Amino acid sequence: MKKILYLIFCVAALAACTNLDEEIYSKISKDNFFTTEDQFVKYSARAYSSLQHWGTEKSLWTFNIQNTNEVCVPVNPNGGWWDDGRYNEVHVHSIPSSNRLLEMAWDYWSSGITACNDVLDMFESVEKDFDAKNRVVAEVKVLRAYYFLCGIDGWGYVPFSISKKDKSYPEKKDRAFMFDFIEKEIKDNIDYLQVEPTPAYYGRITRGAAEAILAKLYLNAEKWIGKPMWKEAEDVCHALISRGHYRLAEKYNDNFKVYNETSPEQIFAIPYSTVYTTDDHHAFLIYMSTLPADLCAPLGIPAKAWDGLCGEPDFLASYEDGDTRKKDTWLFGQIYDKDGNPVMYDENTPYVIDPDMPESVYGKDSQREALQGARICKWTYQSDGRLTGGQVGQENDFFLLRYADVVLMYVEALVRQNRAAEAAEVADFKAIRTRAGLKPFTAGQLTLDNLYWERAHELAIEGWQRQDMIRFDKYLEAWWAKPAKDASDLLLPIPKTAAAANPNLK
Amino acid sequence: MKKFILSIAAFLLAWSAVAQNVTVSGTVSDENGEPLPAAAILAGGDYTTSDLDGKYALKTKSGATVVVTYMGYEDYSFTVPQGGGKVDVNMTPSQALMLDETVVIGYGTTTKKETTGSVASLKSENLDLGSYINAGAMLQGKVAGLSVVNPDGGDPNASYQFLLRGTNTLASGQGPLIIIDGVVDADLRNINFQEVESIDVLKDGSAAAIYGTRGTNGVVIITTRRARAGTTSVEYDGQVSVQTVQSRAMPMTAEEFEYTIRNYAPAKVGSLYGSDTDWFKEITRTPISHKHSLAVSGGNDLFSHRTVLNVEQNQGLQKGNDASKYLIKTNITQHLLQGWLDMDYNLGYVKRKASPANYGAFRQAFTHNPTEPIYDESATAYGGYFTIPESDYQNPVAMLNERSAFDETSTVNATVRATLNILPVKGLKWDNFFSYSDEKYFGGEYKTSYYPGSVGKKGVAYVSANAYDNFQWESTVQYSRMFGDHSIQAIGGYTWQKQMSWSTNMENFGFDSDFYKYNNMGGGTALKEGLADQYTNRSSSRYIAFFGRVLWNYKEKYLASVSLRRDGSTRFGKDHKWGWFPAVSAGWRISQEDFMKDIDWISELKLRAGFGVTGNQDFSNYKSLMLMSSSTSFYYDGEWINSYAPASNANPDLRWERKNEFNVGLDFSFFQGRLGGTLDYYYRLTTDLLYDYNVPVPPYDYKTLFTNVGSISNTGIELSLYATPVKTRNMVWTTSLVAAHNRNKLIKFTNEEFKNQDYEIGWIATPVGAYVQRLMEGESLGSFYAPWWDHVGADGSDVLKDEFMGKVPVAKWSLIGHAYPDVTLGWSNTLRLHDWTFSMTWRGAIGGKVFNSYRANYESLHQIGLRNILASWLDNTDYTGEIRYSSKYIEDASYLKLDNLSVSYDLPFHNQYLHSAKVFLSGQNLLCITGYKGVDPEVSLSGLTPGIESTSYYPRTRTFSLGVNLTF
Repeated sequence: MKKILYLIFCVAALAACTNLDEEIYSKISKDNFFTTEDQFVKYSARAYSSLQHWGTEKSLWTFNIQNTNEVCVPVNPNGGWWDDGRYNEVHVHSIPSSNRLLEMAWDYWSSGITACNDVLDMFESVEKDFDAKNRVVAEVKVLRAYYFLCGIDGWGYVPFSISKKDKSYPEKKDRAFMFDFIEKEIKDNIDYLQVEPTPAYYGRITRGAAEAILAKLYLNAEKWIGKPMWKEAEDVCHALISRGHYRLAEKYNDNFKVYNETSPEQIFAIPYSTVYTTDDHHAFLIYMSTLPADLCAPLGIPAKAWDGLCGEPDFLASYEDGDTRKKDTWLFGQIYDKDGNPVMYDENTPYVIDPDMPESVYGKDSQREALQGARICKWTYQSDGRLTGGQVGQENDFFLLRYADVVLMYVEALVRQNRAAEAAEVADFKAIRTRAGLKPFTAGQLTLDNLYWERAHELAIEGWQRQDMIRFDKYLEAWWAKPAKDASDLLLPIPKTAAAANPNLK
Repeated sequence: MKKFILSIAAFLLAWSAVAQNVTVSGTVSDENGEPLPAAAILAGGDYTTSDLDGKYALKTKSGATVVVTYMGYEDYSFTVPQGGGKVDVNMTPSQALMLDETVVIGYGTTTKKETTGSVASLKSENLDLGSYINAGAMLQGKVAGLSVVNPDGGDPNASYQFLLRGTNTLASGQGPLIIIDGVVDADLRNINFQEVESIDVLKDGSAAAIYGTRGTNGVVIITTRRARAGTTSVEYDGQVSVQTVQSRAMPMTAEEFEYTIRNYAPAKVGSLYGSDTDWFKEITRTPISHKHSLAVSGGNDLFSHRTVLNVEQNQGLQKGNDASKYLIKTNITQHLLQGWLDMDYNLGYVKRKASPANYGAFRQAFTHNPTEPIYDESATAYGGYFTIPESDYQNPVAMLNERSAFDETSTVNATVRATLNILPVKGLKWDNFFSYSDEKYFGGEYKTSYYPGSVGKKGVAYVSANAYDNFQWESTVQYSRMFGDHSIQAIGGYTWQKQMSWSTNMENFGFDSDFYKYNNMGGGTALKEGLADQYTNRSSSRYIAFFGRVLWNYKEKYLASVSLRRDGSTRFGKDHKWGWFPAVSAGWRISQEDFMKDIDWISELKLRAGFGVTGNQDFSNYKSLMLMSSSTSFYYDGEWINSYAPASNANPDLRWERKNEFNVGLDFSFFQGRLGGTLDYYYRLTTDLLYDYNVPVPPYDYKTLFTNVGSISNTGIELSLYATPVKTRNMVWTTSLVAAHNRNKLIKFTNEEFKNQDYEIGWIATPVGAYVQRLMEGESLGSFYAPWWDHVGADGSDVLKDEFMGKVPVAKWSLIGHAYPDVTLGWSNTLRLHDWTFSMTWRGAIGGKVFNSYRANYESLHQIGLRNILASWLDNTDYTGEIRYSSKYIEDASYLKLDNLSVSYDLPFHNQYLHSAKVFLSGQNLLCITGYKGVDPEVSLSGLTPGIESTSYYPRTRTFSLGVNLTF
């Protein structure tokens, strides 16, 4: 017996002497993680948290708004924001594949797809069934469809990858292929989704969100795959509207204020927080990008903001008189501090921002003046002292999809089918106009041009303008500081880094 | 045991029996019979010197051992005859190249003449006198092929970067493996540089392969002074040093600034504030440092000890930047059981304290407007400092005054070596070595409510604590024996090492008072509001190895060495944890051949050749595993929850980088060692290079994957020459020259899976806005690419070659040069004149390019205004354009530096109590001869983007030291 014990001891000692398994302390392995249903459900949060990149300084959102006639970034009086021309290139539509903003815009949806694939693979690999599984899987698949839609919208082609397990270079797929994939993916999964947008489903893919994404797909079908699908767009918008789960918020600003999560208008929101979403890649930082440093203190923000993004002068001039959305969106004219007192620029000059700028301020060797250029104030600045310094994000949630957008899509689908009279009578459409202090359009006024501007003003800087400009044939025209372009400008170049990593994208 | 006690008792009795005073006398003469005056004659505590005729008389005990020493001669020792008497001493000159000198080769020692690998061996007398922040600095310019760079100039907390025989990796560490007194992966900062007895550098693969996975970057083995038998002696070393600025980036003075604005940029007169502030002067001082070391040693043949106490207080150039060190270390050796057991114990405690420098303050002092005043009483919101609220624009004086920081590191290191001599088998022993070191770090930083950049945060406090454990067990069986003309030295062993680290960081702000600093972390409000963070992290790794080596020689003429190591590390993929690391080398001492016997002037001629395989695993833990870490938060079901994501792209196939090295060398010594040297040629090829390769997203989670692709080579020649051109009774001049050439080449960077890879690296931010280097197959690392600068155009702008529409496309940029120098040089001299010793060390580099960041960022009229620019713009006022990245900023990095100039004097008075007294004066980093226009052409050559001078820097300083060495 003693001998056997001795032998066991020797073998054990020898094993310990050659054991090289790693000991893990501060991270967790898959085997130790997926033990409860709660952990499964929470793992899907990874797919959603990719959305938070939207509100950062370089994202698909900031790319889109600079790429249109909404926002421009002239060099500021301190010589900032030239940065080797990257902002300028995006605005004047001369974007090299090495442009950093282009790369970050691409990363938003491509890393979103990866995250969705990871979650779906994980659910598949761990054989554990639970009640919510079908719904969570459906959410993530529709979310992935949204990310793919972002890709075909901008670039026309995407690397097609729907599983992490296949590590070969993903193939490059065109809009026709992806259109069918996205449509099928949404239709196959829509019935598993939560129907009623209760607070518990805030920030998640619900049936309403899936319908709104599908509406975006159909609305752009003519431009993307050469096949008009206005009827399909009308039907899916109608289904959402008629279910009555959403309604217009009383005030336009209810959608953008600091605590806006209670707005009845939100369909799909990216929740942000000054506590939980604060790093460079997951924060809503628009105040940092747009505000001049010297206005921070009067507005109650203890920070030195970067003084970059400005409203494009022609866009500011395009509002109808009396449109309250102009003041709700842009900061210009006399500036008032958080207590309502007028702010002085220096001892003798009141702080009055002129939204108009000549095109000559644009370019490497010129710069705008301090009091030139309207700033973005659509998302109410948080003046409670929580914004302290450069990297703390705003509390305001971002509505990627909201009811007013769906109403306008519905109206557009009708108008495109020559049913302007019917469209003019849509009650919520009228309410959008009256909420902005304007008269509803008559059937005669409901031209595509007017509808384009209505969308532009209602949804200004919300990230849809690029797609809308293309659909309304405005994108290739010349506008402020941007020359006219030919049709090759409709697709963005594939970023150099993405092409370098995947030869199939060349 | 009884025997043991008896033997001790017997020894003590014998010792007291011989303790009777006698006189021994005689004459000390040289090899020609000429008398040698002032030779030191020492017997335990008894001491005398020879007179002008070489005569001496020493009162001591009969049976005592007398040692006679004389500069330039071998020590001579004899035993005092019973009753004393006459002993004449005939000294023989020492050879500059000592063939029997011990060389440490890892898990053992050999002699210089028997070495077959490429090993550089330095003794303490080869090292320069002076004041060093750590022992690594003493290797600068002393070893051919080893570059030692301190990119942080005069910072007393700086560390040195080592690069041996070029860059052999892309992503792993490049520093050599440091072994101090047997402790693998030890910290150079934890020893006193004055205690270094020898430094051996294993350079080639055949020598380093015995350290397998960690041998690629070479192995530096440091041996500190050990306990030795002899009567009790007390040594004191003390020195005091001052520093002055040797080189820094020069901004315009207030006068130049105003002149420039008024004459060249009148639109910016609004930036003239009327004061005259030298910001650099405001944040610096003349630093004074002092170091003291006291060593007590003694013992007998069975038990000896050495204890060192060391205190250092070092000031940095920046106000408030300090470093101090307190060290206690004891070494005890013991011989037990009648020769069966040898024990060696080390116990050391080191406390290092520092106030780290604020590097940003030097750059802010450079860019800060010299016409601004320092203070402005009306700026109460900013604590009375003159402040212009701009991002990245901070009052340098406020940066120092409104910040306090400290670091404290304490390390306990204990080792025991037990050697069992198996006496029945001659030459056989079993050696066990245990080492445990336990390092604790604690640091804090506080920025007050008026610290620029965090005004409004109401005081920001940081505290961090780290712990680091290193346990090592080595067990070896060694056998060495002569069989006729054959000599065998064999070793077989096992080693097990575990390293564990633990770190914690916390931050808080929103303090009601600046009184607390970092001492009341809970006193801030930010943590409660969810605006501050806390982190902890813990990781561990283990290395296990089995190894063996046989050294053989025949008549000390034909030499060979074969070694093999089976090495394992936790860091690699599941199926790749273990690797084989073989090495073989051979030597032929041609001078021992009969046909060479008649050639008198050749004392030594040896041809060596070796091949060895080593690895590199100097990267972070857990890279092969699929692990999840908590990522950003997400709002889910009405609450914010953590989301989880893979920590990185896991690579289960992660395996060893493998370096094969071939080395051939020639050792020679002529004219009885008056001229000698070593010539080496090597070819090193690293395959399975680890790097963060671009991968597509999707399907990967992140854009890079740490994996094995590609290969890199380094080819070079190294020459070391030693000579004693002058050698008379009163004067000895020794000189040594080391020179090395290395050619680095990135051979392959793609494979079947990873192709189309194109890497631009070395991003320099706006206003330069360019990647200045590229990783290209067939090129060296550190290849600078840029458009060629042509001339300054009529409009004051730089005109570039091949410009089209105001641009040179990146694809058309040219290769401007490489960062690595073509040749590195070191030249050391020692001149002994009677009791005086003068030494001088030069170091240089020829070729190589350096990116001048200060010029690229700050030598443009466009940048002046709120911020200051380089005064050198005034040398070329035609250039008024914007900064355009071009070859203009990539300059030649050749330099020649006077590293050390020192003089020491052996005081002639000594007596029974004071055995020797020596004083020295030394100057370090005295002179730099270079065409480079920046701060210092000697910039970091480590890493993937070598040769880029950082704008965040510490100025270079000259150090002048005065020291004294007393032995009692």
